[in-house]
Amino acid sequence: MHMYEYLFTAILIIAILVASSMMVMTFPKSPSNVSEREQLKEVAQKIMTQLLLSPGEPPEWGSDITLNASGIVMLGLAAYSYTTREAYVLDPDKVLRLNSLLQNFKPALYIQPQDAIHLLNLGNDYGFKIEFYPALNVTVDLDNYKVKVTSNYNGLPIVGANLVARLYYLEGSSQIVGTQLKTGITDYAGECILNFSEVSTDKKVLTLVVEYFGIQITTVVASQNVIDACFLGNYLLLNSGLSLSENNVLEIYITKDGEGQFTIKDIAYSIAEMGNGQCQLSYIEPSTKAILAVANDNLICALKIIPESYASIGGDVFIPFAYSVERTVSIDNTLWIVRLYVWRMSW
Amino acid sequence: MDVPLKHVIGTIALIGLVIAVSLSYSIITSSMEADILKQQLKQISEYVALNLVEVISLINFANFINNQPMMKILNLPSDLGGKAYTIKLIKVNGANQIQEYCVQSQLATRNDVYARSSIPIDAAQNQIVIMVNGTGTLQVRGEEAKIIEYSSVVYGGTQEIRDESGQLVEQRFVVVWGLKVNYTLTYAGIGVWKLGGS
Repeated sequence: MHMYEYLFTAILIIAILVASSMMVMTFPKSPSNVSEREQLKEVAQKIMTQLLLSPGEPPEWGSDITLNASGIVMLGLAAYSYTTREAYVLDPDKVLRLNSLLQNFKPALYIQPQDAIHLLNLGNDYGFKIEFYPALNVTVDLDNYKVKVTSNYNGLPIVGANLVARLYYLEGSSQIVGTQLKTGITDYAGECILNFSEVSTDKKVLTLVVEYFGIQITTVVASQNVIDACFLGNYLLLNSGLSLSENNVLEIYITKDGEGQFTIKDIAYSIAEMGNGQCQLSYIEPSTKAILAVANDNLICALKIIPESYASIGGDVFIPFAYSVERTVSIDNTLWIVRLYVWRMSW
Repeated sequence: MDVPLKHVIGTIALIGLVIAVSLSYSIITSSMEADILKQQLKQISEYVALNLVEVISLINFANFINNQPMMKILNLPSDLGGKAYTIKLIKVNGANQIQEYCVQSQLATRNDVYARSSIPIDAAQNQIVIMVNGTGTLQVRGEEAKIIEYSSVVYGGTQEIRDESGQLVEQRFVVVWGLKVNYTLTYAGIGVWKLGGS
């Protein structure tokens, strides 16, 4: 054999090695990808269990306004009780801390998604997005007091839902007045018009309870001239620069009457301003849905706003290859659907 | 017969090349096998971590303070392609130097082939303690013969103990367990569910 034949044989052997190695390397790729996607399912369930069933540490971190993300040792959204607890009941204060709108009032209280990732020990491997949907969609038109109740699935109307509503408005410059309780039932189109024709002001807040076969949805809708605020624990958080005109606020809460029907009530409590838009309430009534106050001839409506979404990446994006898990939870006696998406940051 | 030297050298070189190629091929396939095993170990770690979190949530919900543990039997493969593996609970430094608990699965014979899954519980807090050290036994209410033998490391899969005739004497299962000692302290870990005293 000549030298060229030896060289040719050597090249042939090396080529066979390279070709067979490349072919073998491609074989485990697709089952490996399937396996990685299966792992996402377990990661998503693990995170969902931790978020919805654990109160976190400290257990009442949601209502403690002295705690920011660095003071939270373990993240969990479940409501905490010393004696008994219910599964899938979330603390509204903890959920409010995930709402970016909180940055308009007290930025330190907002839990940044990056902090949540560290608290959940997800590191740089996974991203997540949590979405909150009400169990029923309730839209209110404050011009004609038309209420429409629809399902989350294809917007189908909810027929026969019971409505209970009370309208609060500013009379003069400092008095908050509540109307009589109005009730109604949605028709075939899921609509119902409530009669609040006696109220003519544009500074008004409608509190509405929708009850449909055990599903309870509470909605508070304020007109455009009403100033937004929020309340957390025993504290009312306002935009700095606002100063309350009165030392009392009105707490709107939902309860049941002697016949087991929902009713909307209100009670006044004193409040003390602490500066920087922060006010301390003397007492917060359980099941308080809204707090109304007056500042500079304006009506202030403070709510606990549940965020629509909370994600480790900004914007409304579609995440390919994300695994989603859904649960139904109760937040402040209102039924919500929580959907968690988890995806790998690299494949 | 005279054989030119160049033919001898060429043939020896070709034989050496074939040996080198087969060695390199075995290295390549070994590395690919390790990647596949890591995927499977990762899946096992995630499964164990998920069940551990669920047991902890369950025991805290039940407020089960009777000094009785709660456990769940895990459905794990007995081996991975004929290779034994272990499951270990460890404490590591995560991102931002925060200590975190992890479930680590690794091959029994190769320490370099392992996979971890983190548990979303901060190791710095002291309300929930994951047993990353120590061994012991736990009695489960209503069960007279079997105990939980807990430790930070267990062999994966269900162990079958057979006698000389091949009859099945005992099955030992890998479990995750939780024990609520008081309102502010819960222990959790992994162990083996087995006959007591053996």
